[in-house]
Amino acid sequence: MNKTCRVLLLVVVLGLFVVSASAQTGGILIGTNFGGDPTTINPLLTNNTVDLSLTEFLFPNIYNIDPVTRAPMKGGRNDQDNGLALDWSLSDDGLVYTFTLRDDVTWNDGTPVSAHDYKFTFDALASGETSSPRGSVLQSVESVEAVDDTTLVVNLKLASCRALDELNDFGILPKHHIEPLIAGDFAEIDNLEYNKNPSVTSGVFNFGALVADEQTSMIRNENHWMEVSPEGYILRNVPDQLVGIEQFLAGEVNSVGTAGSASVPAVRMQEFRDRAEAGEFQVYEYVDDGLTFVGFNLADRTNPLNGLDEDGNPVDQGNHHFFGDIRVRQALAQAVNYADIIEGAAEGEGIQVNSFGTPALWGYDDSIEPWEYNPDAALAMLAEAGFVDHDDDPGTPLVATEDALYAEAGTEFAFELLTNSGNLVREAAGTVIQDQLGQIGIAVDFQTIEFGPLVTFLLGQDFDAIMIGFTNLAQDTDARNVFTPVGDTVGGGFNFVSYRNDRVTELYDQALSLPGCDLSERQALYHEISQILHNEVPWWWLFAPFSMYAESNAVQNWMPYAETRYANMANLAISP
Amino acid sequence: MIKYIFRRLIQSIPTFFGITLLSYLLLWLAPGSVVERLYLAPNIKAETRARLAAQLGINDPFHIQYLRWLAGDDWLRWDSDGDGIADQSFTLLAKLDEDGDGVPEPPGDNYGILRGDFGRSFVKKQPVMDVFLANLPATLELGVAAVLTSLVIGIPVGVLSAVTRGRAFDNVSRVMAVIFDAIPNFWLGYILLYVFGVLLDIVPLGGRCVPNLYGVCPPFFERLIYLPLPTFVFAAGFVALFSRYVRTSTLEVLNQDYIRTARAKGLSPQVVNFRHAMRNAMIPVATLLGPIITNVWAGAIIIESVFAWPGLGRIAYTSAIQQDYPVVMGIVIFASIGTILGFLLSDILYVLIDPRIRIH
Repeated sequence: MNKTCRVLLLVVVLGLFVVSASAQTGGILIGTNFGGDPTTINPLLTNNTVDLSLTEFLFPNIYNIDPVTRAPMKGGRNDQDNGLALDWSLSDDGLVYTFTLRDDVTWNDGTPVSAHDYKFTFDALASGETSSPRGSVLQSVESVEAVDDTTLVVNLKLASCRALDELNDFGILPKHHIEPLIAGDFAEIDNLEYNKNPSVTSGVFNFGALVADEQTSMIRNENHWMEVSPEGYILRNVPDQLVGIEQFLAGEVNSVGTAGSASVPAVRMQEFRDRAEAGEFQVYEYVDDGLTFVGFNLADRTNPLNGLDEDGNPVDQGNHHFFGDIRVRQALAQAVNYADIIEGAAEGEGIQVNSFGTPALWGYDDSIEPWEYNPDAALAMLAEAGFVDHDDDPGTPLVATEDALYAEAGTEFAFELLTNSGNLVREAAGTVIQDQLGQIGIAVDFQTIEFGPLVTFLLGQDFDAIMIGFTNLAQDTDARNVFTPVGDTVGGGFNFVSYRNDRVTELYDQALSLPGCDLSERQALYHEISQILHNEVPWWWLFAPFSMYAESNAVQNWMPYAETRYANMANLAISP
Repeated sequence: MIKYIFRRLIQSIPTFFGITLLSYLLLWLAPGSVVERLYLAPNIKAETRARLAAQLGINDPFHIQYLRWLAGDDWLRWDSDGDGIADQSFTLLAKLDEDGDGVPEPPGDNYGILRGDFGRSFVKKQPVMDVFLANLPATLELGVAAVLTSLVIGIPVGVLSAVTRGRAFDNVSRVMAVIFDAIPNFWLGYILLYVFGVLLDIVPLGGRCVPNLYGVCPPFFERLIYLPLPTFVFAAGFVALFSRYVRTSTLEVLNQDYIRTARAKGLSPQVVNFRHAMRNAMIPVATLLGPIITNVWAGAIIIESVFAWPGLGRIAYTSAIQQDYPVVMGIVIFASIGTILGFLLSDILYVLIDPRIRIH
């Protein structure tokens, strides 16, 4: 070997060394958690972000979700995915789903994950004896059969396009481990030690330990079907967001928030953007799948009634003296400057929405023009609805004339707007609304109250207008419970504004039972609903906030998507 | 003395029941419920929430909920033949088939706090006693550190302040005592965290330790770095209290004849001040220990929340916010028993330390 060859060989060897050194693996990922200890680590019982941030990496699901479209995905991306279904089909009558599951996934004790595990989990839920909040699946699913280890048949009560979505609403429990512990009594699932220390799991991690009020940890699953890089994932409890951010900036943790939450507050997003550009850390931004809105009570708040009687017939619920008139709601929709609300409440880090949903949802119709700020048009419309400035003093409230549909003549236009205290975004938005409506002669009694009482007023339908937010709407665009009389039940229903439009109800029913459940056909139906809801303003459509993940540079191969911070957990490498 | 203690304990029983009744009533009157708080989402049906509320028993009348919490429900509805189905009930208060669906309700399985069963946390879904036991060591660690620190600093400062009455040390210590007594401890905590944790970056931003992947904390001496800030903030108010009490009592003692006698005998000022004067000046300090125990409970709620200290105070705060009644009530019971015993301890110490006091 001559000198040139030796030099070349040395270069190749050194190159290989450098390449192997840079393809780093391992390390412990540390996130921050503002939500307290996990309530449970049983995927059937989970109901908050913290719980789900853990179960996501510990338990299999029936199928994978495409991280880009958020739609069900056959097969998988062959990295972090924990979905079992390779394929599925729907019968012609839309009443039977048949799933083919993969056969190479095992629990961490070596037992194969099978269709029997899914059936066991579903049966536990269907028994109604557990405290699982995941009962929505029972609205459309009659029964589940495990034909063999890899074939699962789901019988629906009715053709429902939400059924597929609902089937994936919970992680799968290991039947062989749980069944002997409960001795046939599903109610015992609530009391299992397993719920705090799940020893048999099947994800990229095994459960590590829960140290009360300090942290929860997971440890690499050495027996996982694919090679898992991180040694573990720790969720460290911190008292609030501010402390979590400072810990992140001090390098004590790798991320702000849990796997399931973004958590960089709007007020600091620009700073984080600038610092990320300077190379201090990594950020990822997206439009959140939740929205902030004001719900108008359309019915008579002095006598709240269900939307349907016991026989399913519509009930006359009376009309709210102001908001029962669609012209008033449309006027209000033009009476505030949305840019001011977004700037004042969310530091400009949000986007005005035009109807129910946000641009993050597949059913959202971008083509609808949002309401624009036009106080003159608002005043003209209010005058048409019978509310006039009787004394030419914009400082005093408008007054109802004989032309008002539901308000007695002489009634001043003044109403109560409620929101929950402690939510700075809503408090700021309410103040802006109060100020801007005051400028056109509408007196808003803006009150912030504790969340508990707020919910009591909300579900009891005892309010004029209420500002809250809905989050995690990404599962499906269906909002039948929110905008049809089915959900209009005093004390518990989510159609707390008592909205009713027969065409909307019909469209929701059509979209839910569409043969074949073609996404684009359903989308067209939801777009029509969105247009009606936009026009009729049962809710005051405000804004969807931007969300931001922040991740330290120590986390390599990071691949985030909207609502999915770690789409490739198994491939992450965390340098010390 | 034993008779006196026994009498005091008997007297505290109505106080204890009064506390439980008032506390439970206040929580019961609070609007909203844990079910609404935890399960307010459009994809959760009203029927599901109603079922969860029924399982937790939060829709029962006040007297039933209170009785169940106090004395359990195994005597309200029970299974006499061992088939797992309730077949007997205390008909005055509970029916076998409460909801009228034709199926007997399950037999009661709660023994009540009077028999040591504090129930299960709605939120954490585990026995309240387990929650206590998991968090009690942290509160004890911080509470003991704070009380010891306040004694070690407060007593000498009080004595020195008294013997240097009117001079610079006395004036400074009195001003400092007022300041530390007046500053809200949550504010002081956040300021110190910002200065030492963020700006100077020399202490961690809260917590008690960094457990490893297996949940194991390093030994105590390796995690001492977490203790100074919360201890200081916790102890600040106590130091102020002790120093002012000790200063006042020391001044009284220093004017006593036996101190003058000691000085006349030629004893050194150190011996006079710290051996003769301080011992008698300690009497009011001993009586303060009872109220201090109460203050440790109360202070822990704020200090532990600010410093993310995983103790009972933090649990009390989060449980109150989450309307997790069993945990909140359990902590109220612990705190009230601690307070009753603390005041009893004070009275006993007072008698033991000061021979001039006699029990009648």
